[in-house]
Parts: sequence; C-alpha cells; structure tokens
Amino acid sequence: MPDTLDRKTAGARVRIERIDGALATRLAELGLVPGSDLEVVRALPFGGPMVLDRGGFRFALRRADAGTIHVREESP
Amino acid sequence: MSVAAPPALRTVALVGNPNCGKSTLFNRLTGLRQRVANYAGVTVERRVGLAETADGAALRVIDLPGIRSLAPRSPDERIAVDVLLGRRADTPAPDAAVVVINALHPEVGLYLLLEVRDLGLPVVACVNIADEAEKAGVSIDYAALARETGVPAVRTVAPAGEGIATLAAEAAAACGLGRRAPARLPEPLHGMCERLRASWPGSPGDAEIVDALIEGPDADGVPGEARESLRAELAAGANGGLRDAVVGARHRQVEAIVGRAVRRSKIDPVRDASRRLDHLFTHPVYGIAIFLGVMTTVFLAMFWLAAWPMEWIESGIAALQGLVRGEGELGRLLADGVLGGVGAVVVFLPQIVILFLFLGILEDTGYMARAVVLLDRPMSAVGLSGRGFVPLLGSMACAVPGVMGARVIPDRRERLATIFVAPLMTCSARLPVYALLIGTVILAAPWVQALVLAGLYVLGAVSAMGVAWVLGRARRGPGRTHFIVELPPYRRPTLRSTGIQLWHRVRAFLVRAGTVILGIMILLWFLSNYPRENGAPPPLEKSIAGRAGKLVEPALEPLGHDWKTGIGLLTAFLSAREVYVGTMGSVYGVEGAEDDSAPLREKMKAERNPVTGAPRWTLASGISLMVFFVYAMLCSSTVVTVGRESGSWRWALLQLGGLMALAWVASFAAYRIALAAGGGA
Amino acid sequence: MIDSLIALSIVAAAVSALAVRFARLVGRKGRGCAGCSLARPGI
Repeated sequence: MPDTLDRKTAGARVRIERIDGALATRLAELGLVPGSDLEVVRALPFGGPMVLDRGGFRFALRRADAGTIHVREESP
Repeated sequence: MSVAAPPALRTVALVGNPNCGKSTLFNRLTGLRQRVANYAGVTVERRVGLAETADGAALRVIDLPGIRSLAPRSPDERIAVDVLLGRRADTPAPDAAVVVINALHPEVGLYLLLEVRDLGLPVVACVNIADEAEKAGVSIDYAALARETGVPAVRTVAPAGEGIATLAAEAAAACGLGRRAPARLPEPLHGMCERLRASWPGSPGDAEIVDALIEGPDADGVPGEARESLRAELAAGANGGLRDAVVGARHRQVEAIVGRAVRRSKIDPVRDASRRLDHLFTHPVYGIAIFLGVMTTVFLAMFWLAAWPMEWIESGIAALQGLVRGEGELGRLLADGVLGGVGAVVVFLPQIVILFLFLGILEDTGYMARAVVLLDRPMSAVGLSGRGFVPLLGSMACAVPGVMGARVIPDRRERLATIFVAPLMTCSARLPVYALLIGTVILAAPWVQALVLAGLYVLGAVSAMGVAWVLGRARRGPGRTHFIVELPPYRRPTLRSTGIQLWHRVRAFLVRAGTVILGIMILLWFLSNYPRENGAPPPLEKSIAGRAGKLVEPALEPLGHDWKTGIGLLTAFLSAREVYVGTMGSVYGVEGAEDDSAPLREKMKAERNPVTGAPRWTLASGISLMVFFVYAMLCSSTVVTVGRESGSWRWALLQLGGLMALAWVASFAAYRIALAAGGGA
Repeated sequence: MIDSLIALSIVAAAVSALAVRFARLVGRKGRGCAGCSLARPGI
C-alpha cells in the first residue's frame, strides 16, 4: 500500500519520495521535489485541502493532488 | 564621445512569484507615477509607472502579474509571458527584467529567475523582504548569488525603501546591455519545439511548448489545434525523460545555487508562531467562526466610525443645495438633480472608505489566503471549483471583472455555472443601497446594523452556492483541478501601500459617482420635470419618470413598495445599483420643501402611503427591499458582459429573468415573514 | 429662458455621454466600466 501525503494528519513530518502526474512540474517550480521535507499543518475534513509547510514556505494543496505525492514518514 | 540625443525611454519588466512584495516594490519605484488599466481583451490589470534613477534617468516599469514559471497556465501568466517575450502590441518589449525573489525562500523564485535569464533578456535579481529573512535566520551571500546566477543581485526591503535606489540603477544599467539570443534547448527538444511552433496558435514561448510536451496532449492548457502535432512528436520520440531533462535539470541548477549562496540557521521563532496561527485559522469550526467574526467587525467599524463624517458630508451638501437653488431651471437641476442625486451616493463615501481600508489591511496581512483554503471544500461540494474562487471573490468588488475572470475555468458547464452565480456575490455597488436601507429601517445599535449587513453578505454567498448546486451542471466532490494556494507569512501592512491601494479604490468610486451616476441623475431630473403643466413642472407622479414608476408599481406592491422605488429600480437597472440611492435622493428631494435639509433616510421615514396613511418604510419593507437587492440583476453592465462571455445572449437574458424572478419571490417571502413577525409598524 | 436652455443642453450632453458609454460597453473592446477598478478583495 503506497504511503501518500493525503493519508497524513496534522503534525506529520514526511519526505517526498515520488510525485506522479502533472503536479510534479508545478511543485518543482516551487522547489518541491523528491527529497524535500514537508510538515502537515492541517488536513481539512471531508477530503478538504491540506495545509503544508516546507522550510517556512507554507501552501495548501487539494487532497486529490496530495494523493499523487508518495512520501515516507520521518520521525519528529 | 559627442553628446548624443537622450535615449528612448527604456522599459523594465518587473516579474516574480506572487507574494514576494512586488507590488510594494513597484509602488516604491514609481511612487504615484503609475497608471492602472487593463490589457486589451482581458481582465488582467496592467500597471505601468515611471521610475527615476539617482542620476535623473527615467525608466518605464511594467509590473507584471505574479507567475511561477514561463509556462502559462492562466490568463495572468499568459500576459506576463507575452509581455516578456515582447509579443504584445499594446506594451513595449522590455529591455530588461527585474526578477523579484522572496528572500525567505529564494529557492522558490530562482526557478523563474533562471527561466527568464535563459530568454536572453538582461536580468537583475531582486531579493526582497530581506529583513524578515534575516530575522528568520536565512542569510544570503549576494556576491555568490550574483556569481552563480550570472546576474546582479540586489538586496531590497521594499516597505522601508532599502535597496530601491541600487535596484533602479542596476535596472537602468541592465537595459543598456541588449538582449542576447535565448538559451538553446538541448536536442531533440529544440527540434521538436521548432516544428511544433508552426502549428501552435499565437506565438508561444519555448517554456509553453516544453510544458505541453511534458504534460501530454490531453492536459488542460493545450490548445486544440496543437494536439495532433503534439501527439505526433511524442509518438516519434519518447517523452519519458523530458520532465527530468528540463524541469529536473533546472531544479538541480537551483539547488546548486542555493547550496552556494544561501545559509539557513535552524532557529526561526516567527515561523513557529505563524504555523500555529495557520493551524487555528484553518480549523474547520473555529476558523469559520473567526472569519465571520472578522467580517462582522469590519462591518461594525463601517457603521460606528462613519457616523460623524457622514453627517458632515450631509450638511455640506445641504448647504450647497441651498446656495445653488434659485428660481430658474438650472438652479433646480443643480440642486435637486445633481446635488440631491449624486450627493445621496457620495454621502456613503466614509463607509466605503472604511470597508476598503479594512479589507485592504486584511489582504495585506495575508489572512485572506487562509480564508480561501477554508472555503475550498464547501465550494467544491456545490460544483464550484477552486478556479472559480477568484472570479467569485472578485465579484465581491464588481461582477463584471468577476464574470470575465471565469475564463480560466476550462469546463464549459462549470464556467457557465460560475458566471450565472457571480452576480449573487455582494458587489460594492450594493453597499450604498444596503447602507441607506439599514440606516432607514434598522433603528438599533451599530452592532445590530453590522450584523444585518453581514447577514446580507452571507445570504448572497450562500445563495450563490445554493443556485450553483441547483444548476447541478458542474462536477461535484472534493476539488479536482491542481490548485496550489500559497499562504504568505503574516505581515504588518504599511501605511504607504495600504494608502495607495485605498486611494485607487476610492478614486474609482468617486469617478463612477461623477460620471455614470451624475449622467443618470441629470437624465432623471429631466424625466421628472416633464411634461410641463402650464409651464410649471408636473407633480412627480405625472412626469415621465413618475409614470414609468407607476407602471411597475403593481409588481412592487406585494413587496411593500411603491412607484418611487419603482423609479429607483428602473434607473438602477439601466446603469448601476447605487444609482437607486441617487434616485431616492432626487425623488424625495423634489417632493420635499425647498429648504428641507434632513438627510435622505429621514425623508424616507416620513413618507406615508397616501391611501392608508401608514409609513412606507418599515422594518418589513426595508428587509424586503434588501433581500430584493441580494438577488436582483440590476446592472446592465453585467448583463452585457455575461452575454459576451458566454457567447449567448439567450443565456444572459435567461440569467436576467431567472435572477429577477428569484429576487421577486425571495423579497415577497421576506416581506410576508417580516410582517408576520410584526415588522409592519 | 437662458437658464432653461443651459439646463436642457446639460441634459442632452448627459444623455449622449450615457449612450456612448453603453455603446462602448456592448462593443468589442469591452473596457467601458469603471467597475473594474473597484478592485478585487481577497488573494
């Protein structure tokens, strides 16, 4: 079962392993690539968006898009 | 060297990611020497200004919309790319580009910097917001940065004006360098791009074509005409490694530069605090509560703080009216038509100023982005996507740019749904109407008045979602499109940038009052004073305007309203919603005694039904009209825009009819409910 | 008399200005609305 970002909850710290699909380019433009570390600030209910933090850069992603980001959980 | 003629005005394009303080930078560079308009054919704002270097040379600065890369994915981005490539007839090709980067996370902006540099355009890197970055423990070696990127790097703190002079000087110097040939893509990419360019509509840049090659022919932004050729190219050669070859390669360049020029210390106290605020503001329950609370407070300020300046304006206008009114026609036109009409709208200027001021401050702090995140899921539930956000949010200023902004929505049905509901978002033209009605019938403490106004805003927004749901023509469920919202760090708004922004908005309001409203008021005066009876003006009811009002009166009686409001609604429909207020000012003024200087709302409160003797303006009738305005499509500009944007006048008329019918029904219901609840006295 | 003439010519000017504005609004260019500069709240 692949571990993807959309399954994470607030407080989780992860490292990106792989990004599927077109989102990869958009994220790369922002400096987010495999190997980048992310922290989940908030995951809104009912499949709502996720608020993420990467080294101070804070942004929000749709849950479906977060599902294309494969991650590995890091110990805090 | 002999004295040469002064060089033609050099042009610098200001480009960068959103949220890197570019606007403040632009304001600092150009002061008030800027002009805001629209690029032809789109709703994208075009900001051009004049900057001055230390030695007095002038530089034209074009502030481009924020973009992430040169692969355009929205009309904003397309305009920016086109201007950079010098492909817009209405904008001079830039001689140089200043790429603005946020010092807090330079890696995010460096990607764009490298892309622009590779266009062959002389570039100056501007590292903005440097003060906050330094406080956050980010230290940048500017010399190393310049060396690694091959372009000058300037440190700026726009709000404080630090580095501005240096930036202007470097930009001027860069203009003198001249464009080089763009960096050549590696083969086979280069060949593919050249071949594809032939079948591509418009004149796309490399970045756009490469992006399409990476994303494939079925991706969102690919123009229909190019799909076939795209498919052919991809079939001939693999695209598997393309993303890595281009995007990955560029990213690695960025990493290398960051590695050599940027140092981060581990300690950043501000980030932790802001993360906790974000955690709070995006809480599904508390977050929404806070949002509603904030909006209500803004409205509260509107009613509470504006009282004194409004009185001042009212008495000023009344005094002016007394001066100007004479025996003759001209005097009466000026006193009753012009001053009475336009004055009635201008009186609300203090409230408008307060609202725009607070909203501007809210935007500048960065809070609004958090609210957008909160609202995404509920909006998706009714079939409005994240792309529909900006048009709908924009409609809260005015539906016209909102409707035009819906062009970004690729799915036609979703687009039409968004266009259909856009007028339900409470636009700023409704404000004077609401303010007048609330002031007339909600005779309670300011916080109650504020709540009513908040309620009207909420009603508009909720109705928009409800109608979108009913229309059911868009796909529903948690949003599908790529939607990356940056949450900028919280920032203390500066007096200067807030002031400039406020000034632009206030000026727009006044210009509109002085043109459209003035025009209609003059016309109305004429229609209220003719046809003559024995050389004297007829009673208002018998005038052309009055007769028109009487004509629609039967439709308004069940809502608790009369022919005077009828005139008001007719004039508003022909022009703008706030004209209703102006018309009331004119209509009630004409009837009143010559030196009657009471404010409009007092005159309205004194109005009696000639048959029953009961007051015309009661809580019930006030609420009914407020509800009417929530739904009614009383803006010819919007109807016309919808007709153009949807490509179907039938659709525009359908919307007009539908919303008017909805307005009537809702108003009727509100009236009856309010009467039953005892609001009739 | 002069008074009325001035008043009526002002009315005529206003009507033509409004007509022009409307025509520009409907026409291809579509820039005839001060509403756009009423600016946008939000992000």
